[in-house]
This record gives sequence, C-alpha cells and structure tokens, in this order.
Amino acid sequence: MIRCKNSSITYGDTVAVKTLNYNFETNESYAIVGKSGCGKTSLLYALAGIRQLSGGTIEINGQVLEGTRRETGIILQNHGLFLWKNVWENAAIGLKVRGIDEATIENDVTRLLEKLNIYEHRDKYIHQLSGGQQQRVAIVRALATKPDLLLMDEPTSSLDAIAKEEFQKLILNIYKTSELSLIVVTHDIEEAVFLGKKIIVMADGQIKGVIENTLFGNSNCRNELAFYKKCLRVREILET
Amino acid sequence: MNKKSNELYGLFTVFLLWYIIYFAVNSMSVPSPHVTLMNLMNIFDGESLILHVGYSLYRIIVSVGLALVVGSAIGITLGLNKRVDKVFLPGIYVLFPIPKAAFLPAIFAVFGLGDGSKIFLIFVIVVFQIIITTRDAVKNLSEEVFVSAMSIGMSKKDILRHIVVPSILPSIFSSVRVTVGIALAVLFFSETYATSYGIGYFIINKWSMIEYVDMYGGIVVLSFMGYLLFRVIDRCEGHYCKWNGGS
Repeated sequence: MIRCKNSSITYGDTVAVKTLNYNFETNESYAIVGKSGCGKTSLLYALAGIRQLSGGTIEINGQVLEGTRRETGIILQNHGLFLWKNVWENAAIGLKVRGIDEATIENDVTRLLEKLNIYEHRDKYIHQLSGGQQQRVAIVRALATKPDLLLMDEPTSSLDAIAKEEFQKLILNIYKTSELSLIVVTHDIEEAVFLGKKIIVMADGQIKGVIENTLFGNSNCRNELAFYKKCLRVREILET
Repeated sequence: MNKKSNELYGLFTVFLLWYIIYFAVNSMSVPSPHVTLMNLMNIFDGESLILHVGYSLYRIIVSVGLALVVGSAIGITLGLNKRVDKVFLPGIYVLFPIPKAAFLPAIFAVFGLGDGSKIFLIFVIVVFQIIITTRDAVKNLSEEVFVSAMSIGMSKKDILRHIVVPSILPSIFSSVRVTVGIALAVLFFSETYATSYGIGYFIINKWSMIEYVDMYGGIVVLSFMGYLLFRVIDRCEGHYCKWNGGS
C-alpha cells in the first residue's frame, strides 16, 4: 500500500501539489487524470522517489520513501529511452546496473522482448523504431526489474489513435497477468476510464474526486455506452 | 555523387585555385602545383621528411590527447555541478581569449626548449575549446534523461558512464575536429624555435633558404597530415556514434 500523508510539492512560490492525503491499495490500477499543470506528474515523480516532497510523507509498504525504490518501475512521457543504446541495451540497462548476472539478463530480457513482439528489433537504435515500438521497449525496461509498482506518465501522448488503443490494451493485459500496482497519469479522459479501476480526478494540486470504475478490465468497453457515460462523469468533476 | 567523387572534386577545386594563383602572381614565391608534387617525391627520398612528419604527429597527438582528457573531465564536472560551474566558469572565460604564446618565456622556464614546451603550448591553447564545448553539451542534456536514469536506480557513476559520456560524444568529436585544426596552426608556430625536426621547422627552414618549391611541398604534407587526422576522427565518430548517424 502507498500512503500519502499531508504530501505537498512546491517549486519556489508555485504549489504543484497541496496537502494530499490518499492511500493507494496494493495490486490496484489507478488513473490520475487532470489538465496540464494540475500536479499529477509532480505527484507521480514523488511516488517514484524522483521528486522530493516539500511537506508530509509518502510510505510504500510501511517504509517512508526517501529516494528511488528498486521495486518501482516508471515509464515516462517521451519513453525516456537512451538514444545511444540499442533496444537490447536499453531493455537490459536496469538489470545491468543492479549487478544481475549476464545469463539472467539474457533470459529475462529475451522473454520480455518476445512477449512484446519487439525481439526482432533488438539491434536497432531507438530512432529507428516507431512511437509504439519505442514505448514497448520502455515497458520491457521497466518490467525487466520485476517491479511491484508500475508508474506511467502520459504513456500514449506521442502515439497516434490506433497505436494508442493498442498500447492501452497491452498495458491492461500486462496488469492482468502480473502482480503489480499500476498508476497511470494522463490528460486523456478515455484513457483514464480504460486503464483505471479507480479514477482520481486532480485539479489545482488537489484530488477533486475519486470514481470507482466497474467497467475496468473489459478491453472491449469502448463498445458500451456506459464507457462514455463514465467519461462524462469524469469531465463533470473536472469542470466543477 | 558518392563520397570518393566528393573528395576528388574537393582536391580538384583546391588545385585549380592554386593554378589560378600561380598564373596570377607569376612569381617564384608561388610555384606550380605539378612541379611541387613532383619535387615532393624527391624530398621524401632524400630528406627524411618522414622523420619531420613523425615528430609533428607525435606532438599533435600528445597535446590534443591531453587536452581531450583534461578538457572533457573539467567540462563534464562544470556541466554536472552548478556550484563548481558558478565558481570556475568566469575564470575560464577570462583565460580563454588570452594569447598564450605571450607566455612562451614562462613556458620555456618550466618545460625547457624541447618537446615539452611545444606540447604544453598547443595543449594550453586548445584545452579551453574542449572544456566549453563539453560543458555546454552536458548542460544541454534533457532533464528527462536524468529522470529516466534515476528511475532505473542508476548511481552517479552509472549516470556518468551510461548517460553523460556516450550522449555527449558527438559534441566531443565535433570539438576535436576544430581543436585539431587550431593545433596544426599552433604546431607550425611552435616548431619555428629550438628544434631541428617537425614539419613546421621544415617549412620555415625552406622559406629562410628561399627554396619555395620544397617549402610548398612541406605545406602540402602538413595539409595532408591534417586531412588524415580528420579522417581518423570521422572513423572514430562513425564507430562510437552509430546511433547519431556518425559518418
């Protein structure tokens, strides 16, 4: 479980996240949705241990978070891959810096690259891949270290509509087949409804509402009217 | 047009310009290209020109190599550490434009009249170029790259090894290209005193003896040395910066 107790983040005179109190349950999927500048990315970075809190604490599994955590994986908005390393090197880097032996790296990375249909591109550099392929490499890199918490910062913002939906289905599938907690930050309301079992609506650095999403887990939910009604509900909270 | 054609075209243009100047000036101080090149074959046989080239290459490689190591280390430190950058950058900006050749007497006093003073002079002139280019390249790295590195759990040593150094290599190669050009010019000057070996010494010696054909032969050799060094840099960049479309 992740406990945010009076967590706040300030940049100079700007308050990005106001005193936030919320508990994220283990093995749940959360989507944090809000307009640009509402504090959702700052919150995500704080959960990753990359951004320091200005006040309050974040506890993960009973331990106060004081920096990055080995069991947390993060996928950034522009994939965050290293352009000077090829697909294989990017995928394996997390394991390499942890001192994992070569045989295990070979085994784990091969398995993940094959699972995400990117193995044939292992010798290519990142600029030689499409946007969707790049994000898949980012997922492999994050999953290779076997995280119990996967954080995503607007993972589909650079993808076209078709690639976006394919990627969302991929994330859903990964969540269903792994034992991990998922927190996705997005400004896309449909994406939040698709990926979030609980949808947290943020505005002005605060949580404005939390919606329980009974449609979660159904990869064909976009065919149902209830999906779009849920999107409307999120919009209502955002606009109040 | 392929690469070889481009190079031949470049050579042709240079020689054409030389011929134009030769006919326009019409003086023994500018010999013709074909006479110079034919004479070059004789010099190579008789005058141990290879020994002169060897000395010059040694001085260039050592001085530029030292400047690369020291300059990159300082540049990376300045780029990564805001406090150090704030303290030392103004001093570097002040020292950069100072004509280092003016300190030759002091350099002689410390390093003597041998290779040490020549190598140090070239080093101290070109190192600032590398410091500033490297520093700027590090500062231009996006925050997301460091966020990504931290999220994987990289230590500072890992970040230096896996992020900073490989990502700034294209800028360093670019800087080395400019540095080699400057170093060759300084080398010529540094070989005009207290030495009997070096392509700079060869050229100035022939000039003083009014042997212009030999002198121009030496200039052609110096130019070719520079061309070879640039080609080596291109090859290294092509190998280490494949991800950047290195040539």
